Amino acid sequence: MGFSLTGVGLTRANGFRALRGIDLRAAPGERVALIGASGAGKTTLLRLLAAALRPTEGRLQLLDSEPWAVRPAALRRLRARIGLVHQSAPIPPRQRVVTAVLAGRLGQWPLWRSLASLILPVDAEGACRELARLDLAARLYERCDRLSGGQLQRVALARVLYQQPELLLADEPVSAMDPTLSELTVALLNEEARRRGVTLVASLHAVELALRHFPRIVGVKAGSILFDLPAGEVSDALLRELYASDGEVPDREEIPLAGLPPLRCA
Amino acid sequence: MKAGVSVGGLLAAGLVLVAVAGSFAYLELPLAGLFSGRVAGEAAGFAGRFFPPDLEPDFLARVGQAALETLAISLLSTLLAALAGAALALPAAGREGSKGCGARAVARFVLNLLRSIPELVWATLMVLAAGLGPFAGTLALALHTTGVLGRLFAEALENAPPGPAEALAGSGAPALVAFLYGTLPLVAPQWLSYALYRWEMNIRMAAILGFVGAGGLGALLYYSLSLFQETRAGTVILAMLAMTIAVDAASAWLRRMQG
Amino acid sequence: MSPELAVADGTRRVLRDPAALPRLGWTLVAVLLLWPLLQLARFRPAELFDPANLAAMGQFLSGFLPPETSPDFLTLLGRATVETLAMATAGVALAVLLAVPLGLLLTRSLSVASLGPGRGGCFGAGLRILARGLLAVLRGVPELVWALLFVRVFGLGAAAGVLALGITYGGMLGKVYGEILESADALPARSLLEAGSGRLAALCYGLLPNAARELVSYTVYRWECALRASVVMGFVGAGGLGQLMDQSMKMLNGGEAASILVTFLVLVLAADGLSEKLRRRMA
Repeated sequence: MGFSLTGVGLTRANGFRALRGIDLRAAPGERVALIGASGAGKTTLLRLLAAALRPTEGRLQLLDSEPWAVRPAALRRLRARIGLVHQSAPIPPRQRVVTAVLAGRLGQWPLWRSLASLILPVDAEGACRELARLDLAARLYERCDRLSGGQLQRVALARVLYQQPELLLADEPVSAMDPTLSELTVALLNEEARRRGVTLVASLHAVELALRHFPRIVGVKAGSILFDLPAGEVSDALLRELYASDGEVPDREEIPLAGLPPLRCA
Repeated sequence: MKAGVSVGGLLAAGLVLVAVAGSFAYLELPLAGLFSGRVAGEAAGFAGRFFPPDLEPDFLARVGQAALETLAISLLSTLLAALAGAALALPAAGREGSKGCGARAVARFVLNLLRSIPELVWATLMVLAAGLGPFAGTLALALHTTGVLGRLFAEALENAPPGPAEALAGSGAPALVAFLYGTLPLVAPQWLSYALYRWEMNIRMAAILGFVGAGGLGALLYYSLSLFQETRAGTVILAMLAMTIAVDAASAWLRRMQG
Repeated sequence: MSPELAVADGTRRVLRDPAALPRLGWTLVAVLLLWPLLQLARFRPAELFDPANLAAMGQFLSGFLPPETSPDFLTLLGRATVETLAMATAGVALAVLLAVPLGLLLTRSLSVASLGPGRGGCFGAGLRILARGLLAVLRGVPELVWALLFVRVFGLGAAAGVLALGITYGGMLGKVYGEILESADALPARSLLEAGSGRLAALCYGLLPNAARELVSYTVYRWECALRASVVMGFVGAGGLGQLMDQSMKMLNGGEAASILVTFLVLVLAADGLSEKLRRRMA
């Protein structure tokens, strides 16, 4: 299981090459962090892994299945086993938190259950459990437009947790959260992946966070993979090169919690 | 602040005046005669025959029954039209589950056809298909309103962000479910507003459809006038006004509640 | 708060859904109301398949093709179309005549009294309320009812339709004119009034230039609606395409009805296009 990309590339309709020559493999249960400058292609790569985008070249295998060579019904079933936490929570503002979270299993439920849940939530307890892990249980029945950005992101996360996918993908899952909360959330994601033995791929802007929690780091630059190393082998020089041409400084200025290891030196 | 009129504007204004004058001339409307004393006197006399409105209990009961019938026609037809309009709006807006170039064009064509034909023409047709009575009226209004609501719904759909529904489809939800959970919450307030607005229109139309045999207050009015029972006609017209005001008020209350 | 503690907390205290009772309540109300509604409207889909109805419908529809194209009928059709066009134009013209004074009455922007102390404050307000009430009545009674009544007074023909349109649309236009004028920038008009000019002058030089586009645009849109309404009013005897169609349908002449329907659709399409173009040139 896990996934494998061989020579994968994606050229957009307007001719822009978003990804090129991607060779990436992950065994089930591996936890990988994607880092890189904005626009490097992290989101595109994640959406490819979620079977939401179709590569224009190369071979893509997700969970022992080739998503673009099977029939639509099989593709739907495959997608139900993959969960993607989007960069900005795609939740209608007027929807209630409980409905938004329960929507995670819509790919697995029969039609009557999905319809029934619209009127009365069928598994409020299950939704509550996931929200409790993110400290949001008290907001179970509130409307999503009454939440802050960080809370909304947590609801989107709870939705994917409720889905219980075999491949867990996260696109900047903590971008709207303060450092303390980011730390807890990333820890939670990793714990979930470890506990259930599922593959986790998360893109993070905060390099420190990635280095602290993920055993394997993949650096993406201008649509291709710059490096694919265990966290211990990622040097400062490599990081500088990763963020170099855009003039962007890697996000190392996060306020670390007391007791955490200091900033890494080369 | 732009002052002054362009040559094009003056020309257009001139054409309009010519058209208006021509219309009056073609119709040979005795304008002067229309507002003359004799005609005014006739009209006043005619109006006078409507008062006082007939309040005899038996007739009032019939008016009440007809009013309820009219209300039922308006409500049921708007409901049916909302469902049918929603069903047609999805392909017409080119949204989820409507792959295939043909579906969109067909849906738009059907909606245009439905709404171009006036309700009264539909009513005449439905009286043929379903016999005299309120059922024909319901069908006629439902068909016409489906066209109107379907087009309004589709416009709202086109302006709704596709993100939420796409995300749900991306996690394996079937197209219909992705729409219900992802897009419907976004367009629901707008759709409800349109449906309520059409209900207000439909109560006025439902009252009239009876002229061609489709039941309700219209039928009563037609019969009263044909039998020259103007006082009874007056009661019916008052009932129509009352219904309109009631529906407008109910609609306003529903709008406030969901807002 | 560590995750483990949060889990234990959450499962122990699942809040009750506050929306459960209202939703169940409304669903119950809807279900309970549906049955009587269906009964009142005599909703019986089976009647659509009743053999007598099917036969009548089939005969009528089969007569649709070929549509009637004899030269006699086509002349009749042409005349009816022109009559409908004339009715709509004359009706809207009448409506504008009625709407302008009513709209002016409604516009607070031109109220001299609201500029400062002086007589006439209450009088103006009272007149405004009266105007609003009159407009409500004019709009509340459907134009078809007016048409029916006028046919009784003035006999069959376009006159009834023109008057009915004039009255109801006068009400509609009056209300909207009032709203447009009120929402237009009142500053130029006010300064003119303060400088002592008459109300009419303040209107022409102050409010009108800004509001003209919206006023004309709405009037053109109403003309389009009037066209459809004219056809509908023909069904109660007010002439034009509607009366022709009513006669053809009463005689179950599918061919004629088809021709009339096509003419009507083309007319509506053309009017739609014309109105769009006019409004775009103004926008």
